Formats: sequence, C-alpha cells, structure tokens
Amino acid sequence: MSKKDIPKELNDRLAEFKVEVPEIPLKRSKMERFANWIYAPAKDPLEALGIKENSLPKLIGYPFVILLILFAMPILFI
Amino acid sequence: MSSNKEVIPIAENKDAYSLEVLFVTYKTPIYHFVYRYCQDEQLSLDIVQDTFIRFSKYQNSFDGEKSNIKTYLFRMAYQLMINRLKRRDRLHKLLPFLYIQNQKQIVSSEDRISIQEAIQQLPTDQRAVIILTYYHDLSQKDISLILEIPVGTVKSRLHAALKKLRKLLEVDE
Repeated sequence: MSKKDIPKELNDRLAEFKVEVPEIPLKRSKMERFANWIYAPAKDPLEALGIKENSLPKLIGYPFVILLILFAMPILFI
Repeated sequence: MSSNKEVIPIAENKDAYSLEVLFVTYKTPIYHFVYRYCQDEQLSLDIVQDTFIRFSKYQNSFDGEKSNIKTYLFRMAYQLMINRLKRRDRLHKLLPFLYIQNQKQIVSSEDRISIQEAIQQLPTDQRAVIILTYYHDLSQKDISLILEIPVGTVKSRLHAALKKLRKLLEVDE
C-alpha cells in the first residue's frame, strides 16, 4: 500500500496537517537550548500542594484556630 | 527516490555529501517528519540540528553506493527523536511538576477531531509509519530501513494506522 491507495476522504483529511518550518541554523547553541528549556512553560508546583489564591489567609489563620482549640480543650475537662 | 535525485547530479564530486548541501536539501523534510511525530517545535528544531551534527561525525562511515542518503538521515533523526522522547518521559516521571502534559482534548460528539489530534492519538509505532507513507511518500522498504523493522511489520502497522485514523476521523471506507 502506498499514498495513492489511501481513500480520498482520508487523504484530504491528512492533507490538512500543514507544517511551517522556522529558520533552522546548522550550528546549535547550547546556551540557546538551555534558555529554551528554562523558559519552557511548566506546571505551577504549588498546584500539587493544593495551594491556591485564597490559601494564604488560610495558612495564616489555621495556626490561630488550632491554638484556640488547644486552649479551649481544658474547659471540656472542668 | 525523488528527493535523493536532487543530490545525484553533483554526486560526481564529494561535495554532494557535504554538510551544507545535505542540510539545505533535507532540513525541511526531516523537520516535517519530526514535527508531525512529536508536535513540539523546539524538539523538532533540536533534532534537525543534532541529525546533521551526528552525520558530520559519522560521515566517513556512510557509503553512498550501498545506502540511500535520505533513508540514512531519516533513520538518524528517528533514533535521535526516540531517544530524546524516552529521556523526556523519564524526567517527566521523576519531576512531573516541570512539564505541562500534552492533554488529550475531550472531543464532544459535535466537534470534529483535527488531523493533528488524530495523529497524536495513534500508537507511536503506527504514527511513524503513516507519516512516512503519506507525507514523505516513501516505499515500504525505505520505511522498514528507517524504523529498522521488517517490511511485513510496516504493512501491518500501516493497515492498523489507517483503520484507527478512519475511526478517529469518522471517515468512511
């Protein structure tokens, strides 16, 4: 089977995949590659920890809540 | 092979296999192949450059009478690309937060899946075969040399790739 044997409709769909070729220099620059790697989009690492925009007030507030609970605990045993 | 013939008239002198001539002739087809396979512009650019740098290193071991320069360069590019993708996958598993995953887009029944998405959804072994057959019009023998697999495997992978593409793109037989 070759390109000619591919059905027309599928042939037309495959032809939709066009690629634009950027300027490619023959010599590579390691610095440029490193810079591209550094600037490549990456996931927000704080996402994995579940830290969001409203997390800062929570982060400050939670220790106070825990302290309050701890101080209130003896009341239960009076 | 048509594009190889572009080089043959000047093959009388060894300049035909000079890095500059080969780079001008094959940088675009190699970029097209790598880009359609991985759909990553930066990686494709790096692979094109690495292919020619590697070729310049091993140029002396290439025998123009025994093998075809186009297949030779494509095989080199394919091997480099597979190695880079494997390395990237390993790093991705180790440091997942560093990479934005190529998320598979959920396509509703009304939306038409694009050819780029369909090709990306093909298994890697089938993807290379369909790209080399359709976009580069290579013979099954050349594809078997590039991918280093038997011709029979090329045929079966091509058959499976076309079947899957028809299903993904909802194209009638």
